[in-house]
Amino acid sequence: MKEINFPYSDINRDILRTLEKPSVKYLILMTIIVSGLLFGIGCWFYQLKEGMGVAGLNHPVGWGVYITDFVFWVGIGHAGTLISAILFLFRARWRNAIFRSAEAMTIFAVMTAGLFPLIHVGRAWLAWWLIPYPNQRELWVNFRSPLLWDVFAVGTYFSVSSIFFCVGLIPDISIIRDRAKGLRKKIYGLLAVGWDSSYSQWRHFMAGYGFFAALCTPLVLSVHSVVSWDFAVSLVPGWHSTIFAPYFVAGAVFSGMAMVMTILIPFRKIFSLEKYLTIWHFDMMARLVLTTSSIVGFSYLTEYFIAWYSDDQFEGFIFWERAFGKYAVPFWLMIFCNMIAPLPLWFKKIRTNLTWVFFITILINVGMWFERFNIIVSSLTQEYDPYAWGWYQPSWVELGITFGSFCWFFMWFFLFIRFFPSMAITEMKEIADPPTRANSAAQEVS
Amino acid sequence: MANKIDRRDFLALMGMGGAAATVGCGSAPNFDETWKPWVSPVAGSVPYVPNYYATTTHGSGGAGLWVKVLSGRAVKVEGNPNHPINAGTLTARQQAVVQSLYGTGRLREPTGKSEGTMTWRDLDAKLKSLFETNKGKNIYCLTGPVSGAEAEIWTRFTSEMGTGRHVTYAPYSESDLVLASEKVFGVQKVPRFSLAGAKFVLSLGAQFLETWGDVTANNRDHADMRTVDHGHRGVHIQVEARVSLTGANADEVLPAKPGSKTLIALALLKEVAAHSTTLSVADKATIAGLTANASLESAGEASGLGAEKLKHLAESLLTEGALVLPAERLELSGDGVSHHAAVLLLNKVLGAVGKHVNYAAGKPVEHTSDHRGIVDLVKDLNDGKVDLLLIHGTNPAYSLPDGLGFAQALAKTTSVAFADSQDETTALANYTVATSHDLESWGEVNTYTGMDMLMQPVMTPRWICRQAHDYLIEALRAATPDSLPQENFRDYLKTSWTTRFGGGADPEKFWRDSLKAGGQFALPEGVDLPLSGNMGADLFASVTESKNTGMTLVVVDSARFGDGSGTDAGWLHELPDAMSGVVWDSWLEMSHQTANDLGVHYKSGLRGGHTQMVQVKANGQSMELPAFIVETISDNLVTLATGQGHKGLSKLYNRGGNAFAFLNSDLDESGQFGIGPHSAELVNTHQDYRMATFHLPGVGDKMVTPLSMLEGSEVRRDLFQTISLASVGHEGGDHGGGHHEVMDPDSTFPIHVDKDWYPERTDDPVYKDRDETFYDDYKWELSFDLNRCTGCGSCVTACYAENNLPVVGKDQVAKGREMSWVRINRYLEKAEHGQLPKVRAMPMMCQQCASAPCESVCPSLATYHTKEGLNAMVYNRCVGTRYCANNCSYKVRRFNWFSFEWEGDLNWALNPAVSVRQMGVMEKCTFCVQRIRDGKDKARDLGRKANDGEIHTACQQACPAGAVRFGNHEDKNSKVYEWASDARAYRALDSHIKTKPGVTYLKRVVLEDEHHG
Repeated sequence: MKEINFPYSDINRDILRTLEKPSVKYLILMTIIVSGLLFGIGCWFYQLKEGMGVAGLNHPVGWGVYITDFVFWVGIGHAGTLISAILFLFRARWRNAIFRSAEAMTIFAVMTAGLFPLIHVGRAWLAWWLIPYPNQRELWVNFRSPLLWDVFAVGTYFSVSSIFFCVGLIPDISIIRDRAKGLRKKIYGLLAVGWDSSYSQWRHFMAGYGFFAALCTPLVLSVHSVVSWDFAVSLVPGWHSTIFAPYFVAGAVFSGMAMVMTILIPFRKIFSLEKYLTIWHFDMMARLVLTTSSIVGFSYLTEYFIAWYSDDQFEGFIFWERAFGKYAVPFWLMIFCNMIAPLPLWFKKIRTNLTWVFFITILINVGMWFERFNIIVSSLTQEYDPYAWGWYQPSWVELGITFGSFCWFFMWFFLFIRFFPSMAITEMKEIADPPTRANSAAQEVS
Repeated sequence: MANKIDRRDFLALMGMGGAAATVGCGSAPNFDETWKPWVSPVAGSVPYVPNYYATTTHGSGGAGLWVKVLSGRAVKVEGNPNHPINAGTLTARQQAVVQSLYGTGRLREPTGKSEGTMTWRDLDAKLKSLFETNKGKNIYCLTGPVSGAEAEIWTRFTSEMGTGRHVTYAPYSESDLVLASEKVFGVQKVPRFSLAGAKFVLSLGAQFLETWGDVTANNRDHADMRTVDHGHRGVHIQVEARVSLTGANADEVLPAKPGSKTLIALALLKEVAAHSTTLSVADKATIAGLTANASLESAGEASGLGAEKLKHLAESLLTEGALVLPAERLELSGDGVSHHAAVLLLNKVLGAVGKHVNYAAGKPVEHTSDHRGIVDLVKDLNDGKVDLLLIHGTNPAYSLPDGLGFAQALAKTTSVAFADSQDETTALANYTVATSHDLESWGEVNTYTGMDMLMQPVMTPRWICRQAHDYLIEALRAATPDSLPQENFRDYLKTSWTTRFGGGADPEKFWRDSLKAGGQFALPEGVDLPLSGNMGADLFASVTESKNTGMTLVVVDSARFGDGSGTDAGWLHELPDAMSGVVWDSWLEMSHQTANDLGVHYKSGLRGGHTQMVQVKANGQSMELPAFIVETISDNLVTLATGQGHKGLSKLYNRGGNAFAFLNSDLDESGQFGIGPHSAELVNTHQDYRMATFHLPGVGDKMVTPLSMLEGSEVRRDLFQTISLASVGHEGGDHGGGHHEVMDPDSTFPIHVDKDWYPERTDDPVYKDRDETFYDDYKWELSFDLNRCTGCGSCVTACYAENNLPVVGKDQVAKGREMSWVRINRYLEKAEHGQLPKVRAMPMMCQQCASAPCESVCPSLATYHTKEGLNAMVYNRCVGTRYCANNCSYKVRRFNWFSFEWEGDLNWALNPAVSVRQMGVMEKCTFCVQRIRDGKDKARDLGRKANDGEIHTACQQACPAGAVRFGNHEDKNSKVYEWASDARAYRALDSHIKTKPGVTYLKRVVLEDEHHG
């Protein structure tokens, strides 16, 4: 299979096609998405007005769908930086076609994730108190709290990946600038910060890009480790576990890659980018999904082993209850989606069949959402004092806000593909055969 | 009285001092015990410094109350520490009186059935014309049981105004006990039963820790009895087929079949009398004659307990300090007199009369009422003999059996109801006169001989109104001028009081002193009485075995709602039932087997428990009630608690089914409506019903929690602990506790010995090489003696009152959002098949951990450890991440899911020392930090530290059993330190998770050999 099979001359035209006048379909889709977002915002305002009681949360279960969503979206936000930074450093050629959209997805996922701490706190209007800032009242934040670490970890991750993303966009924006007219030209001109593809600019750009890639790499590992410590540092049986950091990072990459594929498969179809996003790309990504699925599955088993081996009756109890108690359905759904469903990807035939891959990645997305739900909710429902046990079920407000968060995410993504090249034009050109006379002839013959 | 009162007049009256509005005269009294609104400040009074007034109410059963009054408003009701019975403590029900004061059901203005809302001017004119037209005719008065000056004024009114009668009515009557006393001892009194000094208590069903007798005193005496002294402690055996809270605290529950209690009493009497060494020969012969037909065998068979068990029981009774308590009145079917006679005889044989059964303090028969009066009244009403009926302080329309036809009879006369709150009776009356609440009125309650309680108004009435007695005096004075020198009931009461009790040289001073004290308390010592009554040979002839074989319905007295007179209080509805944990409802309690037979399934769900409505038919009545399955009830028995099923209260509180509807409409021999265990027919309607409980029944209430789907495997949690008597009382006459070495905390969870990685606060490196330690002067600690605690829930309500806890309602409780800072964890021990499980109650509240899981995780430092060992909660700084609550291993943090609101005027009873929390804020117990601050400030003003015993938490203050101690753990002489270093002391979950709680629990001492660590 020829992996790079697009002519240099088509790149600009094909990739920039998404920036052309939007189709009716696009506008309809966008309307639906924005309506969903407005519904979610409405739910949140309702919650702000009435109180957290409109969510399904209660006394043993103080965290529910909102934190599940938070962890889920932070997890989704992992693939982009992994692809653009780590794979860049490893010079994996298959990243060039996908990294831009993956990176955009990362930014938007982290933007979505960042909403949830605000949505979830009881007094959202005071959430800024979580930021340490000098003040006359000499009030300070608690640096021992994992939630504060979260503020820093997610904040850093978001700012660094946004800069990385914006910097990477500059050469491509200059291409749009060169083709745009009127107001557009001015805006893109501003965004292109005077890029003229000179050698010296390229030299600095490449050095800077590499630097950012190196800077981002530890963040990929740190942010979800810190998120995992929200749970691991606590005293809740089922949360209090040293395995959480690697387990969460693997899970994040797993869900992030699945999400990238879930988005790219229809995207490729709609915009006829089969030439650029080939089966080969999906094969590579599926391998990564398979690897992380194995890590996640191993973590599940390790958790159970430790629950048994530690001889801690409370932990043993909660792990037993997780599998056979009230939340058995989400648990087995998680096991099936994250451990069993990816197994067919061992077969190349399945890996290269995008219908199958799409279906499996959807399952993985569902499974990873339920993984977080399981960890958070089932542990909280049955803690040390049985008299204080309880149940939790999301309310329509929580589900509405969750739905709204998906719309929020897709709204940004759809806007992104409308206004920016969703594949890195310059990097695609790097791997395409350069435009020489000989090449053109050869292509015409083949 | 200024009749037409508009806003201007109201303000003018307030300015004058409320007395004018009260007594209906223009002259300002020169006496400073009058009501003083805070429009113009009172000299010498400091705002927000509370005054306490001693008083009592009818609803609290004459308990000594100290009402905390802040800026002219009653905000909290506390116990009068000098009262010999409640001794500063209160039950939940007694504390809730302040909720009826400000409740939504309070009547504000007079109403007439045809007139609608009336002005006071119209009402006064109407009353005047009613009294004038009916003067000399049959003017009847129907009141609750009254005594003293209150009884005087009612009888005087009826006799002087016409030819009517004064009838008293209360749902519960003690007439059978009076009759039995007369037959056995020739005394027409209700004796006072006291557990003080008892060593062996056999209760044939009396729920003496909840509803029966002096509950507060019983709790205290029961706890004292259980205290281990030189290796011994008293024993309590409860005979009942449905475990009540009292039974839950017994050492053994004997599940006798309903209806067999009198047979048991007689068999025991026969056996005990025969073996008694102290009884005279003549008495022995009398008793032998009376009990000729009784036998252990027949009683053992009838009760299902077996003769062997009863024989053993009889042997145990023949010890020093034994006491037998009767069955609950509601479970005696017409044999109330013989049952009580048998119990009195038993106590006589055991030598308990005089010691525990006190006739010297007995309540005179005039202060009690049977139900003959109300039956006669209904007859007179139906015969058209009643021209005018005044009703006050009783709610017969709610509690009378339907068969009597009270409502129809009442329609045949003109009736005027004087009431502070709306109820079923005010809804029926032709005219309803809004009166002042007991806390705003003068009055008198006489509970026992020597216990005369004065009731004084503690604040200006909330609404413009007077008390009922003032209308009587006004009418009497109008009818016969100069007949009554007193212009209002206060003066009347004062005259009556000083006349009756002497008052000596300075009656004024005596009156003032009595008011200050809350009355006169001098309980006389009991004396033994001879068997001098006219028993007659056939006293026990009518006692037969109950013929009930199938399903039986027993109506049980509710600790929370009692006779239904205080049901309009949210605190009581939200206080979980001590045994089932149910809130806001009434239910049919049944066993798993009974439920299975009916096809009833209870499922703990996400929004509360799902059960089915069951139609229960008994005694010609039919009612649909939700079934609730418990493990603490025998098969083929369903129970229904009293006090619910109102229809005439304010909307919120009309819930559940009315158990009184099942009562017979015929009187039994002692003149009361009884029911006793009644055969019942149950039909499952398969209609789904949602119930709210504090826990997950059948799942979260076990001492050992089984894993789902896995039989036999279980987790025992380091929460409630017991210790066997043998391990506490060492041989050689050691004391039960207090003088031992500090318990090794590592012994309970040996595998965790080396796993405490958290340094002690005192080892904090910050304080190394410095003079100070982490805890400078104080480390506040609290201690619960589980051997004393009964799980009554009084502390829960006290916390609601002190700390402004909102009542959230059934739906929110069902979702698990109750706001109680203290909860009573109720666990069930594992039971052998067919046996009733042992019940364990454990108060759980913030443990103020020294290495608190909640503190480290709060991102905004809204919760932190103070230098006094408190786990402080800064509401203003809380953002509401709820991480602290997740990480709290005891699950005692409460989140404000909404900005909860107080119905009606209930916010008037808020404690200004405690902020009311906004939505989105976490809250929890901080050992009543406002009281600590107050106590420290007072001590600082005196230039010293707060002494032990100066500061009380609200829960400690209310606890009738004295199971709570609070104080400074740094003070090695403090009472809390004594308990914390007791041999029985442990800290919940600490052995496992090393949270270092600031609350200690003392293990419950059980008689069983094995004990669980």
